[in-house]
Amino acid sequence: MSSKEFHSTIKNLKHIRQFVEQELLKNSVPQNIINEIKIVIGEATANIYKYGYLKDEDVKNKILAKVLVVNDEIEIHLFDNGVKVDKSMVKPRDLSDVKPGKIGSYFIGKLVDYFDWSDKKSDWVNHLILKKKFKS
Amino acid sequence: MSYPENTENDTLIISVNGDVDLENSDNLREQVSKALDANTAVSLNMSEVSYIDSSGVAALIESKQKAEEGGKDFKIIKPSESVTSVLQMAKLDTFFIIEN
Repeated sequence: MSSKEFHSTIKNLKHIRQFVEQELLKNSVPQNIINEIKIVIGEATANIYKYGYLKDEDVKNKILAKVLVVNDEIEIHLFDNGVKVDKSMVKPRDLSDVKPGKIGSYFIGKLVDYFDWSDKKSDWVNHLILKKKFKS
Repeated sequence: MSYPENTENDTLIISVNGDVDLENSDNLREQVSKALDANTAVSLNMSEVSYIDSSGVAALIESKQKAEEGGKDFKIIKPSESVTSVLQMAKLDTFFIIEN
Protein backbone atom coordinates (compact mmCIF):
# COMPACT_ATOMS: atom_id res chain seq x y z
CA MET A 1 0.00 0.00 0.00
CA SER A 2 1.31 3.45 -0.92
CA SER A 3 0.38 6.46 1.12
CA LYS A 4 1.05 10.18 1.13
CA GLU A 5 -0.07 13.00 3.38
CA PHE A 6 -1.09 16.34 1.93
CA HIS A 7 -1.80 19.76 3.37
CA SER A 8 -5.48 20.44 2.64
CA THR A 9 -5.29 23.33 0.19
CA ILE A 10 -7.21 24.07 -2.97
CA LYS A 11 -3.98 23.74 -4.98
CA ASN A 12 -3.20 20.33 -3.51
CA LEU A 13 -6.46 18.77 -4.72
CA LYS A 14 -4.78 18.34 -8.10
CA HIS A 15 -1.67 16.87 -6.47
CA ILE A 16 -3.74 14.28 -4.61
CA ARG A 17 -5.38 13.25 -7.91
CA GLN A 18 -1.93 13.03 -9.50
CA PHE A 19 -0.58 10.90 -6.64
CA VAL A 20 -3.44 8.42 -6.99
CA GLU A 21 -3.07 8.42 -10.79
CA GLN A 22 0.66 7.61 -10.53
CA GLU A 23 0.03 4.78 -8.08
CA LEU A 24 -2.63 3.26 -10.35
CA LEU A 25 -0.35 3.59 -13.38
CA LYS A 26 2.41 1.73 -11.48
CA ASN A 27 -0.09 -1.08 -10.96
CA SER A 28 -1.07 -1.21 -14.65
CA VAL A 29 -4.65 -0.15 -14.05
CA PRO A 30 -6.36 0.61 -17.42
CA GLN A 31 -6.48 4.31 -18.33
CA ASN A 32 -10.29 4.45 -18.54
CA ILE A 33 -10.51 3.18 -14.96
CA ILE A 34 -7.83 5.66 -13.84
CA ASN A 35 -9.86 8.50 -15.38
CA GLU A 36 -12.93 7.40 -13.43
CA ILE A 37 -10.99 7.10 -10.19
CA LYS A 38 -9.55 10.58 -10.70
CA ILE A 39 -13.09 11.96 -10.83
CA VAL A 40 -13.97 10.10 -7.63
CA ILE A 41 -10.84 11.27 -5.79
CA GLY A 42 -11.38 14.82 -7.05
CA GLU A 43 -14.92 14.92 -5.71
CA ALA A 44 -14.08 13.21 -2.41
CA THR A 45 -11.11 15.48 -1.65
CA ALA A 46 -12.99 18.62 -2.73
CA ASN A 47 -15.68 17.63 -0.22
CA ILE A 48 -13.05 17.22 2.51
CA TYR A 49 -11.60 20.63 1.64
CA LYS A 50 -15.00 22.37 1.49
CA TYR A 51 -17.14 20.64 4.11
CA GLY A 52 -14.53 18.95 6.31
CA TYR A 53 -12.01 21.74 6.72
CA LEU A 54 -14.42 24.51 5.61
CA LYS A 55 -11.80 25.80 3.12
CA ASP A 56 -9.46 26.62 6.04
CA GLU A 57 -5.90 26.08 4.76
CA ASP A 58 -4.30 25.97 8.22
CA VAL A 59 -1.12 23.85 8.10
CA LYS A 60 -2.57 21.39 10.60
CA ASN A 61 -5.35 20.44 8.17
CA LYS A 62 -4.15 17.28 6.46
CA ILE A 63 -5.49 14.70 4.04
CA LEU A 64 -3.88 11.26 4.02
CA ALA A 65 -4.36 9.18 0.87
CA LYS A 66 -3.63 5.44 0.75
CA VAL A 67 -3.81 3.41 -2.45
CA LEU A 68 -3.88 -0.37 -2.72
CA VAL A 69 -4.35 -2.53 -5.83
CA VAL A 70 -4.80 -6.26 -5.26
CA ASN A 71 -6.31 -8.87 -7.56
CA ASP A 72 -7.94 -6.41 -9.94
CA GLU A 73 -9.47 -4.38 -7.15
CA ILE A 74 -8.55 -0.80 -6.30
CA GLU A 75 -8.91 0.24 -2.69
CA ILE A 76 -8.39 3.86 -1.71
CA HIS A 77 -8.52 5.29 1.78
CA LEU A 78 -8.83 9.02 2.48
CA PHE A 79 -8.33 10.28 6.03
CA ASP A 80 -8.99 13.75 7.39
CA ASN A 81 -9.50 15.56 10.69
CA GLY A 82 -12.22 17.92 9.54
CA VAL A 83 -15.85 18.09 10.60
CA LYS A 84 -17.21 14.57 11.12
CA VAL A 85 -19.18 13.40 8.11
CA ASP A 86 -22.90 12.97 8.72
CA LYS A 87 -23.60 10.01 6.45
CA SER A 88 -27.33 10.76 6.44
CA MET A 89 -26.56 14.03 4.64
CA VAL A 90 -24.67 12.31 1.81
CA LYS A 91 -27.39 11.69 -0.72
CA PRO A 92 -27.08 11.96 -4.49
CA ARG A 93 -29.72 14.31 -5.85
CA ASP A 94 -32.25 13.75 -8.63
CA LEU A 95 -30.41 14.53 -11.87
CA SER A 96 -33.62 15.25 -13.79
CA ASP A 97 -33.78 18.55 -11.89
CA VAL A 98 -30.93 20.38 -13.63
CA LYS A 99 -29.25 22.78 -11.24
CA PRO A 100 -25.69 23.62 -10.34
CA GLY A 101 -24.06 21.72 -7.49
CA LYS A 102 -24.51 18.56 -5.44
CA ILE A 103 -23.64 16.10 -8.17
CA GLY A 104 -20.27 15.11 -6.72
CA SER A 105 -21.67 12.36 -4.52
CA TYR A 106 -23.64 11.07 -7.52
CA PHE A 107 -20.37 10.78 -9.46
CA ILE A 108 -18.72 8.89 -6.59
CA GLY A 109 -21.63 6.46 -6.25
CA LYS A 110 -21.75 5.92 -9.99
CA LEU A 111 -18.02 5.25 -10.47
CA VAL A 112 -17.05 3.00 -7.57
CA ASP A 113 -18.46 -0.30 -6.38
CA TYR A 114 -18.31 0.66 -2.72
CA PHE A 115 -17.83 3.78 -0.65
CA ASP A 116 -18.37 4.28 3.05
CA TRP A 117 -16.82 5.91 6.07
CA SER A 118 -15.22 3.55 8.54
CA ASP A 119 -16.69 3.37 12.03
CA LYS A 120 -13.46 1.92 13.43
CA LYS A 121 -11.66 4.06 15.96
CA SER A 122 -8.59 5.77 14.53
CA ASP A 123 -6.37 8.82 14.93
CA TRP A 124 -8.38 10.55 12.20
CA VAL A 125 -11.90 11.98 12.41
CA ASN A 126 -13.00 10.66 9.01
CA HIS A 127 -11.83 7.61 7.09
CA LEU A 128 -13.43 7.22 3.67
CA ILE A 129 -13.03 3.84 1.96
CA LEU A 130 -13.51 3.53 -1.79
CA LYS A 131 -13.36 0.25 -3.74
CA LYS A 132 -13.58 -0.56 -7.41
CA LYS A 133 -13.00 -3.79 -9.31
CA PHE A 134 -11.60 -3.72 -12.82
CA LYS A 135 -10.58 -6.10 -15.61
CA SER A 136 -6.88 -5.92 -16.47
CA MET B 1 -6.17 33.43 -14.55
CA SER B 2 -8.32 33.81 -17.64
CA TYR B 3 -8.65 31.62 -20.69
CA PRO B 4 -7.76 32.85 -24.22
CA GLU B 5 -10.57 34.44 -26.19
CA ASN B 6 -11.17 35.12 -29.87
CA THR B 7 -14.14 36.19 -31.95
CA GLU B 8 -15.44 34.29 -34.96
CA ASN B 9 -18.63 35.24 -36.83
CA ASP B 10 -19.92 37.44 -33.99
CA THR B 11 -19.38 34.65 -31.45
CA LEU B 12 -16.89 35.05 -28.61
CA ILE B 13 -15.01 31.79 -28.23
CA ILE B 14 -13.30 31.02 -24.94
CA SER B 15 -10.68 28.28 -25.20
CA VAL B 16 -10.75 26.41 -21.90
CA ASN B 17 -7.78 24.18 -21.16
CA GLY B 18 -6.24 21.99 -18.46
CA ASP B 19 -8.10 20.93 -15.35
CA VAL B 20 -11.40 22.64 -14.53
CA ASP B 21 -11.81 21.99 -10.83
CA LEU B 22 -12.59 23.75 -7.57
CA GLU B 23 -9.41 25.80 -7.94
CA ASN B 24 -10.44 27.52 -11.16
CA SER B 25 -14.15 26.92 -11.84
CA ASP B 26 -15.01 30.29 -10.26
CA ASN B 27 -12.67 31.98 -12.74
CA LEU B 28 -14.39 30.22 -15.63
CA ARG B 29 -17.83 31.20 -14.30
CA GLU B 30 -16.81 34.86 -13.98
CA GLN B 31 -15.13 34.98 -17.38
CA VAL B 32 -18.19 33.50 -19.11
CA SER B 33 -20.50 35.80 -17.17
CA LYS B 34 -18.59 38.89 -18.33
CA ALA B 35 -18.45 37.53 -21.86
CA LEU B 36 -22.23 37.04 -21.87
CA ASP B 37 -22.70 40.63 -20.66
CA ALA B 38 -20.73 41.95 -23.63
CA ASN B 39 -21.66 39.51 -26.43
CA THR B 40 -24.79 37.96 -27.93
CA ALA B 41 -23.14 34.57 -28.45
CA VAL B 42 -20.49 32.80 -26.39
CA SER B 43 -18.98 29.38 -27.06
CA LEU B 44 -16.57 27.38 -24.94
CA ASN B 45 -14.00 25.38 -26.87
CA MET B 46 -13.36 22.50 -24.44
CA SER B 47 -11.16 20.34 -26.66
CA GLU B 48 -8.12 20.88 -24.42
CA VAL B 49 -9.78 20.19 -21.07
CA SER B 50 -8.08 17.24 -19.43
CA TYR B 51 -10.29 17.00 -16.34
CA ILE B 52 -13.54 18.53 -15.14
CA ASP B 53 -15.24 18.04 -11.77
CA SER B 54 -18.69 18.84 -10.43
CA SER B 55 -17.70 22.45 -9.68
CA GLY B 56 -16.77 22.87 -13.35
CA VAL B 57 -20.05 21.30 -14.41
CA ALA B 58 -21.88 23.71 -12.07
CA ALA B 59 -20.10 26.63 -13.75
CA LEU B 60 -21.30 25.38 -17.15
CA ILE B 61 -24.89 25.01 -15.93
CA GLU B 62 -24.89 28.52 -14.43
CA SER B 63 -23.42 29.93 -17.64
CA LYS B 64 -26.15 28.35 -19.75
CA GLN B 65 -28.84 29.56 -17.37
CA LYS B 66 -27.46 33.10 -17.48
CA ALA B 67 -27.37 32.98 -21.29
CA GLU B 68 -30.99 31.83 -21.42
CA GLU B 69 -32.11 34.57 -19.04
CA GLY B 70 -30.44 37.18 -21.24
CA GLY B 71 -31.58 35.72 -24.54
CA LYS B 72 -27.97 34.93 -25.49
CA ASP B 73 -26.51 31.90 -27.28
CA PHE B 74 -24.24 29.58 -25.29
CA LYS B 75 -22.56 26.53 -26.76
CA ILE B 76 -19.89 23.99 -25.90
CA ILE B 77 -17.71 23.13 -28.86
CA LYS B 78 -15.40 20.16 -29.41
CA PRO B 79 -15.60 18.79 -25.85
CA SER B 80 -12.73 16.48 -24.93
CA GLU B 81 -13.39 12.87 -23.97
CA SER B 82 -13.13 13.82 -20.29
CA VAL B 83 -15.75 16.55 -20.65
CA THR B 84 -18.04 14.38 -22.78
CA SER B 85 -17.98 11.46 -20.35
CA VAL B 86 -18.70 13.68 -17.33
CA LEU B 87 -21.57 15.47 -19.10
CA GLN B 88 -23.01 12.11 -20.15
CA MET B 89 -22.68 10.75 -16.63
CA ALA B 90 -24.46 13.83 -15.26
CA LYS B 91 -27.14 13.38 -17.96
CA LEU B 92 -26.36 16.85 -19.24
CA ASP B 93 -25.28 15.95 -22.76
CA THR B 94 -28.70 16.99 -24.11
CA PHE B 95 -29.06 19.97 -21.75
CA PHE B 96 -26.23 21.84 -23.47
CA ILE B 97 -25.91 22.71 -27.14
CA ILE B 98 -22.77 20.80 -28.08
CA GLU B 99 -20.95 21.08 -31.41
CA ASN B 100 -18.33 18.45 -32.17
